[in-house]
Amino acid sequence: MTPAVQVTDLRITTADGAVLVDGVTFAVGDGERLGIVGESGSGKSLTALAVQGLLPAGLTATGSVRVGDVEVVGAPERTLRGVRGRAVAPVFQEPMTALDPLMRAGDQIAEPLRRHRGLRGAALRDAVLEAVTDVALPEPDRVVRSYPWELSGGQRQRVAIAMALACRPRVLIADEPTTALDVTVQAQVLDLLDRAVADRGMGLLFISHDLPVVARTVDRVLVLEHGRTVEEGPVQDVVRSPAQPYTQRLVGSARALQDALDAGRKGA
Amino acid sequence: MSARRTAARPARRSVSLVVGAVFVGIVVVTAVVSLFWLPFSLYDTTGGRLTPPGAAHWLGTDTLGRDLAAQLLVGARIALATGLGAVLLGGVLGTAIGLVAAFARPWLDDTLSAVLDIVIAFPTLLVAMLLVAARGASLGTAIVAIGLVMSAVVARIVRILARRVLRQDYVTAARTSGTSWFGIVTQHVLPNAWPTLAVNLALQFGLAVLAEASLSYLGLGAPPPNASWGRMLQDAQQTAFEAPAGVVAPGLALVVLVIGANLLADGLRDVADPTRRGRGATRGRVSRLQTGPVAAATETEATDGRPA
Repeated sequence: MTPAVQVTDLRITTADGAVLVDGVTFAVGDGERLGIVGESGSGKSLTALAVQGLLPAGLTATGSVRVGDVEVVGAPERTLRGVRGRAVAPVFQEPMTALDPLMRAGDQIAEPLRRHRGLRGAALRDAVLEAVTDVALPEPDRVVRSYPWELSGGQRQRVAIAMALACRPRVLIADEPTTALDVTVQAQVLDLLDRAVADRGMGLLFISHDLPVVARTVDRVLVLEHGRTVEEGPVQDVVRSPAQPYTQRLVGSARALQDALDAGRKGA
Repeated sequence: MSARRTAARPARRSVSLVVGAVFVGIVVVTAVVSLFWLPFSLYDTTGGRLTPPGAAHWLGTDTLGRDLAAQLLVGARIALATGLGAVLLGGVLGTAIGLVAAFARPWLDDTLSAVLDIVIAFPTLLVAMLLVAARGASLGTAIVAIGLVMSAVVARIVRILARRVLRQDYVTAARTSGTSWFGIVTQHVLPNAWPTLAVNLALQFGLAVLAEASLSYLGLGAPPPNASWGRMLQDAQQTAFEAPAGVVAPGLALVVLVIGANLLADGLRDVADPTRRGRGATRGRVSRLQTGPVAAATETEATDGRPA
């Protein structure tokens, strides 16, 4: 069976020729969890957008991005509309901008359900409530009627995840889904993502600059620097024995934080 | 604390809403009354030249012996018609152009922006004079002239607002869920642009009323015997010191309508934008993370207190 997402030699260039992503190759199969790590500007978010055929105007992708049996690079909007949501669905970094401030949470979750699963009326209402319950939101009835600003950051992100899960995609694309959240809420949202992916046998493309978060969430990891893959492999191997200087720096700074925490504990 | 803030804010806001509604309401009622009843006919010149205000002629008469109160009533009708007509034309046309520019490729966007800047730089009066020269002076011509210039201002605002919305993740999310561009415009772009646009349209309404008064003052508005506040000012100008009511009455009427429109705009913005209604609730929500049920109760209160 073809992998849910197969990216081969992806290059993303601007109109004036600058190369932002250079020859990135990876695959995410059903039930597989792949992390992409790198600092700001390393091209990780652009890669995620390219997978959905959502590159901003002015950027061009070459190479190949196959989602299921569909080639996304160069595909017309009509083809992409079938791919997005059904095959791949995104969870964004900033839960405030990921939800329309003037639309009730329930209506936003209902939108993909209506479009992709053709649900209407009572069936639609039930599916929305089910989606809200699935992401462990308390008081689903109240959440459905709430505007985004009436929800906390963690709750908003849960609503965004419910929207992404609603279409039952093969691969969930999470671009820094926990960066804007408190650390305690972060752990809850990560647990939720773990469970959602495992229960449904979905693939997960998890993008983050935060190596410890990636290490706890994914199986394999891809390290990007300036648009190039510098290291790739099972996440334990990469964290335990990073081969490349850039990866060593990433691991080193994560360990330094860990050490600081240990030292603080000893001091107290 | 957040409950008090939530309670205090709408109370303060509703002052401008209420005063604005009352001011505009006075003019609307006046206009409606003028449709059914006038103290004197506009053709009635039996009042005598510059009769001072009194029991028969409340505001006196003009140099031709016509009743000023009757003209003021009819003027309300003209002012409202111009304001509404121009806002409707400018709003619809401007929104359409603004949306096209927001979605357009850079060259078309640049071209449109340049054209809009030129139109905005053109004085409304000049556009009106050109149209009057071509079509003759009438209320319709005045409305079209004001509406056309207004559409350029509206288009520029809509373009910026739409661009801002289109950058948001929820638009990307909508696209990934397969929503068409048309769906994105009707579900996300227009609702999010509306609070800002509505306030601006209300301000433009006030400007349109003033523009009509200027056009009429110059003789480019609705021709006699239709009474416009602008033409009343022009008529009374020579005799302003003999019969001040002829200048003060239409001037005050203009002030009431324009201020009313602005206050109404301010008040309406808070009704149109749920994120403004709930400023206090948002703060309560933040503290909820730390303080639990107490702040949560406050927030529920704030939520329930909101108009649906």
